[in-house]
Amino acid sequence: MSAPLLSIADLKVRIRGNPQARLLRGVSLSIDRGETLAVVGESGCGKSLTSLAVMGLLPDGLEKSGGVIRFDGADLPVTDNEAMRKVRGRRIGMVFQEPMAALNPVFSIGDQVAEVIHEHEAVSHAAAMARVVDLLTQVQLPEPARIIHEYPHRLSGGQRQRVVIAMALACRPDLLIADEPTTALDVTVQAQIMRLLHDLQDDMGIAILLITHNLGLVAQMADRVAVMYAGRKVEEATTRMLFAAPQHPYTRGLLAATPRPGRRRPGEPPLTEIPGVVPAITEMPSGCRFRPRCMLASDICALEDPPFVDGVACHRAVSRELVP
Amino acid sequence: MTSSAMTSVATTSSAVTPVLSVRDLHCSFETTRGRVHAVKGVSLDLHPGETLALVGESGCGKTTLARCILGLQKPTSGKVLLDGNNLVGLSRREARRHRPRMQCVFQDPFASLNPRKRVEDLIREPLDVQGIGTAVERRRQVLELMERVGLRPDWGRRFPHEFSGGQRQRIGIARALSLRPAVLICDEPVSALDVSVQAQIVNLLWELQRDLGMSYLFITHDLMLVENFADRVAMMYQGQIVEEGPALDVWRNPQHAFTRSLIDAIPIPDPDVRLGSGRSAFAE
Repeated sequence: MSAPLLSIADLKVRIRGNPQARLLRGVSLSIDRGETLAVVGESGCGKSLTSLAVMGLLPDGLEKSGGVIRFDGADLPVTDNEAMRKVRGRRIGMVFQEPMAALNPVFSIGDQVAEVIHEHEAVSHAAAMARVVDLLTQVQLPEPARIIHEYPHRLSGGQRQRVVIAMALACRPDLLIADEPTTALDVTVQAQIMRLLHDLQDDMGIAILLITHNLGLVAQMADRVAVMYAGRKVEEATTRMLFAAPQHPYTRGLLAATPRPGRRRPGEPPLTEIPGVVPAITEMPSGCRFRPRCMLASDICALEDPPFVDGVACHRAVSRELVP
Repeated sequence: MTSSAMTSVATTSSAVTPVLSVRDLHCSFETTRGRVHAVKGVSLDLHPGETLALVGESGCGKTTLARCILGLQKPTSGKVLLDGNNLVGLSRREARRHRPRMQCVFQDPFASLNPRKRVEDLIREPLDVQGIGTAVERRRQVLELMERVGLRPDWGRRFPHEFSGGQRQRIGIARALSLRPAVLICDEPVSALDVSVQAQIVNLLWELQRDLGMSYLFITHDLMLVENFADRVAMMYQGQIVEEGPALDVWRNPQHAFTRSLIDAIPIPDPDVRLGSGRSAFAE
């Protein structure tokens, strides 16, 4: 078996100067070449922080306090900004939620996409521009020869996201990190963008790290899923297994809370809630962080943060309940 | 597109007098690129105690329609009838008399609450404006409302920034409920929330409707949520209602091409289910 393309082992991130504020508490993930791994969880669970830590783009005031990130067989120098500049955009592409925020309003589309190519390769501007036209064609933008002269505000949200994808793919990366790539888009445009990512993955063999809170996208796109809650991975499984036999009470709660066709019962509340809210980082409970919202919590859950074993971090996981 | 493209629901709804009716509403704007016709002759009926979902994509005119209904935007022509009274063209003073009957919950719980006001003042403000009850009665009512929407009464002295998105949406709902409206216009009230919080807020709205008998005009782009929550749905496309019917019927048997394309595009949260064009969305 070959080594994974990206492996994250026991990644820890905290607020600088505050060892108690542990935002990521030992996250481990791996992605093989050509695979799609979805990371799901609610706002603040650490899914975006994980991807930012991989890119070496942690916000000011946060620091990586432990863990090893390996990419294509070597340690990824995430704290060395100069070294990371050679990785970002070239080996690892990025697509974020807000395409307008990812594009510079005062440069033309052509110049912005070409900039990525110039950053990593010594090519003439004419050669770079020719490649930009190819890229824009590849992401199915109409009239690419015209669009290279346009500015971001002249494009629709879906077109802008296609430009961002073209930038991310410009140097044929091995891994694409897509952080809520379609959350700001209409559902029909979302479908087009996800189909595009799917087709590009087939053509180019890129691995995709898909960060999302949309379980529909996960079901339709991902090979495997990691579920995060309050700074750690609480469950991981193949997509089919996760939806067929979710182990962690939080995963089951998320699936139950998600609208789906044909579940309505007259006289009953339309959706199934997870009670309570994610606790603030300063008010984390002892033991398992999901405990205050968990219907199954017992004494041990307050004493010990459950270890991650057999794909789940829970003292009361379904599989464990079955063991006599 | 004409009214013949719509599916009829007259059989289920003609018996009861609607609490809110929109009749042939048009709204257009002058822009630098010419006239934009945002709402093109919309007619709707909202009946007592029902949830009518208004579904469409960005730019279809659904928010302009909501603004016209609420009197925040002057329509070019047409009528908005609340309890049979036309609200279009009323003076501010006259409009204020009708306002307690119809309130609104907005999409962004961060932008829609004044950050300098305490929660109890935010919830009490509509009562103050309308001059309802004595100061003591109003304070008691605020406490009741907070309890009703699942906020701890001792949180009243806090400011909005001390709350999560879901809790802020509860504050917005308490404020909207304070005047005991018959109609609540909900403009994407849960689309900014995480799925578990979305479930809490949708269930709260459902419970409030069951107990208080309000009608909801629920504006959203999420047709799957509508299938789980609404009684009827009106599909809006390019300024017009192109399809209308019971939520389950529209989901199972969509008539208009726009509705079908929307349903086809929704990723179903089940890896074994592919809708529409197979692996609906993404793979061919």
